[in-house]
Amino acid sequence: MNGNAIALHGITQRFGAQTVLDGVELNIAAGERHALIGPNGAGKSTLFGVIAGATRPTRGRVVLHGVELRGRGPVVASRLGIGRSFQQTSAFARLTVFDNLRCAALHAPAERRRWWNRLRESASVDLAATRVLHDIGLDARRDTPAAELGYAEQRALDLGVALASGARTLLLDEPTAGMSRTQAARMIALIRATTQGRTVLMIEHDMDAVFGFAERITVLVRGTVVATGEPDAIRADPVVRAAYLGEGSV
Amino acid sequence: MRSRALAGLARWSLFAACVALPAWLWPHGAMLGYLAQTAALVVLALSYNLQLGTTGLLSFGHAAFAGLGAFAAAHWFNRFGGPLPLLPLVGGMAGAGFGFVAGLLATRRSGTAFAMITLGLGECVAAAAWSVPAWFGGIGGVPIDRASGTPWGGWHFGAPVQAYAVIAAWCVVSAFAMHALTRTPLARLANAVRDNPERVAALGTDPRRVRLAMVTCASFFAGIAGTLTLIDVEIATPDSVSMARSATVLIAAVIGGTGAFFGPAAGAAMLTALSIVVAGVSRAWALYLGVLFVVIVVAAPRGIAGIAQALAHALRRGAPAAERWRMLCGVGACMFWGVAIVCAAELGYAWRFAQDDGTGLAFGAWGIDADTPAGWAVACSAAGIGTLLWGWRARFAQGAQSGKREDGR
Repeated sequence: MNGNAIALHGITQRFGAQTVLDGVELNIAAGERHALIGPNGAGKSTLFGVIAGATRPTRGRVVLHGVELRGRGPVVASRLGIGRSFQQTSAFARLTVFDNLRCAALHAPAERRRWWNRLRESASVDLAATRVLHDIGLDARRDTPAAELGYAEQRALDLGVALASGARTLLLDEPTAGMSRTQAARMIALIRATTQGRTVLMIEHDMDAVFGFAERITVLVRGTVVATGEPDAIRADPVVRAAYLGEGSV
Repeated sequence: MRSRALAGLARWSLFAACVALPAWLWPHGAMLGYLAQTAALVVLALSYNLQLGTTGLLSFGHAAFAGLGAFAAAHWFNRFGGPLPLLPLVGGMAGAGFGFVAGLLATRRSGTAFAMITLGLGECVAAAAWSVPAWFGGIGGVPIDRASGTPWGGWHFGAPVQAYAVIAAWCVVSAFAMHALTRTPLARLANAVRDNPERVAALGTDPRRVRLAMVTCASFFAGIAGTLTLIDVEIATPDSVSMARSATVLIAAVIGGTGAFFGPAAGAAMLTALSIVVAGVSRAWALYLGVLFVVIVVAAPRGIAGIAQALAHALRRGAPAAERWRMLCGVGACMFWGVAIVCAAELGYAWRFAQDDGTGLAFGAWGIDADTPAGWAVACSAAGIGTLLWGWRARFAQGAQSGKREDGR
């Protein structure tokens, strides 16, 4: 696929007097694995909200797969191919794992226009959901309500819901937050395996995960992009070291 | 899988039997009136649960759509006639139309805002019912003559039995249709909207459209329920759109339990029994209803359906003895407290009315004299025994938990 999956031009976001994002420029090529890092309060999650259409930016343009969003909201953003996992565990708590995935698979580009899918179970939707269920390794938990899953399982389901929706570009907000080191490594491996051929933009705090996973990294500090580049370049960048990595544990 | 299908079949057979058998065994006026009221409220409560249980929308104005459907059906029947058995379709279409229009406004929001908007709309309709007598018929309502429609195979539907046959058939068919609706992917999406609307929006479906679809469907069945009442009493009155009616259906759904499909139906049957049977023997029936409602909300939020499930769970084969004792103590405590509350309430009413007009009061066959201490003694001892049993229940609970913990280690 050619062109950019996500292109942000001069995104500024103000909440009252506070400027959270200040002229953010970001281009993410289709098929790229991109990580977004930065200290707490840098505006990473706000930027995700802007890309996914949940927050309308004060100024600037959001272009998703070549189409400008123009503040049209999350439903349009998802139709343009954006899928999203959430920082708070946020699958559908009282539905079973399989039903969670079936709800998501109903929205895949091939199924979306078949209105009769809303009234009748569809074999192709069930098949897609079963495939994702297998991919995220929750076969054994198929009929468990999502609220009764363990924490790591819930995060895997959250990823699965985003995957099953058939989005070309996935926004993953801290997929390994709150996990042990082994769980985090397993989650990153899962993401790597399940997102073949898709664009991934991921917010992550675990530096090992970031440097092992991403092809390019963008560093956001106080609402502005201070550096974008390949992992090695970012690691060596003196501005980044001073602003961010110096405080961390690398 | 097969046992689940069997359980479903058993449930539907029981439901159909409850609707049909009593009418077949005792086909006289009072029984048919009671059954018709129950059937109409069952449909209304089930339709209400399409909003509350399935989509998570708490509505305070649901009866408005039932009432508006009934008025539309009454006007249609008086002007165009047609066969009576098809009249509920007219009411349903009208209910769905009004529900769609109201839903355009109300479904912009969910949660408290939705509840407040429906409250306001319900008040508007209730006010309109009194202030537009040309359409709502003023205090007299809009009467119909149900025997005046096109007869079907020699049936004119004037006789109560024939009218009830129509009502019962529509009750079962509507319940079946609503059950089928709750099994569709649309209803699953409505569950998803209930659990997490932002997430549904991020998947690419506007949660508002799902809510609107479900509100429209619920209003369709509400219109059917309203028309069933119309067929039963042959009049559409402004009472049918009142807030009191909306409260009734909310109470029925919550008492029955919104988590199970047949929960609201059980609640509706219970509520009609209270308001007809108990009201016939006691003046305190509204008090009992209030107490029951509060107790259910506080102690058994999953309603009658939840209690039935818990009972079945405790009585299953191989359940630990402690669990069964616990359930037994709970049931016993509830029964004794029930006796205590009934005694106290009846004695209180008797005492009050004895002061007012000097006549004695009777609860069914028993005369009640508030001045003798015996009744009060019964009330107090029943309350004491109930509390004692509840304490034992708690001890079993602790025993079961510590047992579980030991197992865990």
